[in-house]
Amino acid sequence: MVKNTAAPVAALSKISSSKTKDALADFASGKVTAEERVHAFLDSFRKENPHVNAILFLSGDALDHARILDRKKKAGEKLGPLAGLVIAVKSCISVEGLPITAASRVLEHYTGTFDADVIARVRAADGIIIGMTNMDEFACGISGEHSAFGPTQNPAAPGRVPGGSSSGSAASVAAGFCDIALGTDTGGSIRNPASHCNLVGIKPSYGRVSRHGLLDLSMSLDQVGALSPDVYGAALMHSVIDGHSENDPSTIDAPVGSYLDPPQARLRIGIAKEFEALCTDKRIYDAIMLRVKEFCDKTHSTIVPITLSHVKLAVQTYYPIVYTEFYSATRKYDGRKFGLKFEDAAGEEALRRVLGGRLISRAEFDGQYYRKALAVKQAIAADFNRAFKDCDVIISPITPSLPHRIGDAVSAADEYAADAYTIPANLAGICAGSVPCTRIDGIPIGLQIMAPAFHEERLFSALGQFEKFVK
Amino acid sequence: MTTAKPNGAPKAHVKPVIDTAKVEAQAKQIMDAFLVELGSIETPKDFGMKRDGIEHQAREGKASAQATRFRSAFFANAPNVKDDELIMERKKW
Repeated sequence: MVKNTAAPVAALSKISSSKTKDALADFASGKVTAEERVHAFLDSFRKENPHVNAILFLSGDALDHARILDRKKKAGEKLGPLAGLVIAVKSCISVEGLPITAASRVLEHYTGTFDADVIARVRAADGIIIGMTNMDEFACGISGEHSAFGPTQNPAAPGRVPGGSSSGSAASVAAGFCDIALGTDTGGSIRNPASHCNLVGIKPSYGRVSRHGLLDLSMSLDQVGALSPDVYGAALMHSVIDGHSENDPSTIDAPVGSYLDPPQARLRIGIAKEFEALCTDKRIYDAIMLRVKEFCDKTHSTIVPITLSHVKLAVQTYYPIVYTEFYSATRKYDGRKFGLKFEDAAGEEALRRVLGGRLISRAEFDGQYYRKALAVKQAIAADFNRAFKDCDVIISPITPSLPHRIGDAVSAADEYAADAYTIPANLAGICAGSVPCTRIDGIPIGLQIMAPAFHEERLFSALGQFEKFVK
Repeated sequence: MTTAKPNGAPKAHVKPVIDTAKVEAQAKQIMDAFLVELGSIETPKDFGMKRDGIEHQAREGKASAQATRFRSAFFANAPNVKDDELIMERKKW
């Protein structure tokens, strides 16, 4: 750990045993073949997906890939780190030959013509892609209800929304349709559904993972990340997809650390006093703080009070940026090359962002919304840089309230406020993750751990320690 | 080549009925409220307008997309192609 001279914690020395480790071990030992694993997931899919609506399209080649993998293994060939694992992909990440719909009417009949960088890396690591998942249309939403293909159910809290926008990716893992899923996170779209579906979800630092082949919502904030039942699975996926790519100039050529076996140490945990006021359901804040105190007692970590004076304006900062950049990103959907014209076919929330973006981008406003938001974004990033001088990680809740029931009327403003805890990490460009923490009324609650930019190794170390503590 | 198998989930063919004027008004209302709240934070007045003392906009004025400076900057690397031909379908480089 950086700037932490405390003694290593012997009791929490490694990331704990996990479902992903078991799956890898079963495949490696020959207890189960890749083909059998895919068959098992497909059986589960056929039984549950008509209700869950997590996967929109299956890959017709998953079984063939599994058989090829089994032959390679039998022949004693070297296999990649994801060998035997089955992966689902959010419908805004390009996979050659599969429908890349972004869960929108706009792209209902669009088929991917190439593999995104992250998909190419997953394939090279012998991951088996099972299909494309449901999502909020063009990643515009936090509930999984804004899909032209219908809402996704939450397998971990029936009747409640699974969170979004990576709703189908989270529900696919929670329902047992795959081992790990890829999602995207612009303001919390991986961490929010991970929390609601009792999973681990990672938002890497901006520039850590290639965005090549991603249908962008907001180019300065989007990142691809993993949703997994455990920290080990997320760490394994990120050890594969992280790193510089020639195809995405925004990626940074920073070394990828040892995510699977990160160094352990007592943590100095930053808690910002501004976080409490953001929580609309106090039970969540109290439960998280109680868990953090218990964790500190057990591991001899310490709580450090910090100040993040601008985070209370994170939502107000985020949306002008997203509206403006999303409006710009959708100009290619003019009905000539990619499906239907956006304004003729998009759903309400995606349309709100585009119409709003068009309005505030008009010359008469002289860029005042976007420029002001960018200026405050810089102030938020500076807050985090200052705070990380005094602490190793920062902990907060993921969401200020429990997931609402599917079909409940929620205003746009209320929906936007649900990302109040997750948006700051995107604005600051740092890495963050959600790990299961507790349950309230039987509904899973995740805890957010944030670490400085390009310190994913520290993030996985802290997530692993907390996961082990909770178990 | 991977092939897709639709899973029988509801298809997206039904066009939603949306009152676009209302949605646009809502969006503007939200943005205006956000801008007012952001106004409580003091930030550099010329943020995003200048870099190292040089004006950071390609264009000379709000209504001057045809301005010489904008066009010469935008088409600086275009190889002997008239501006009128710079539409995507005919782009050759």
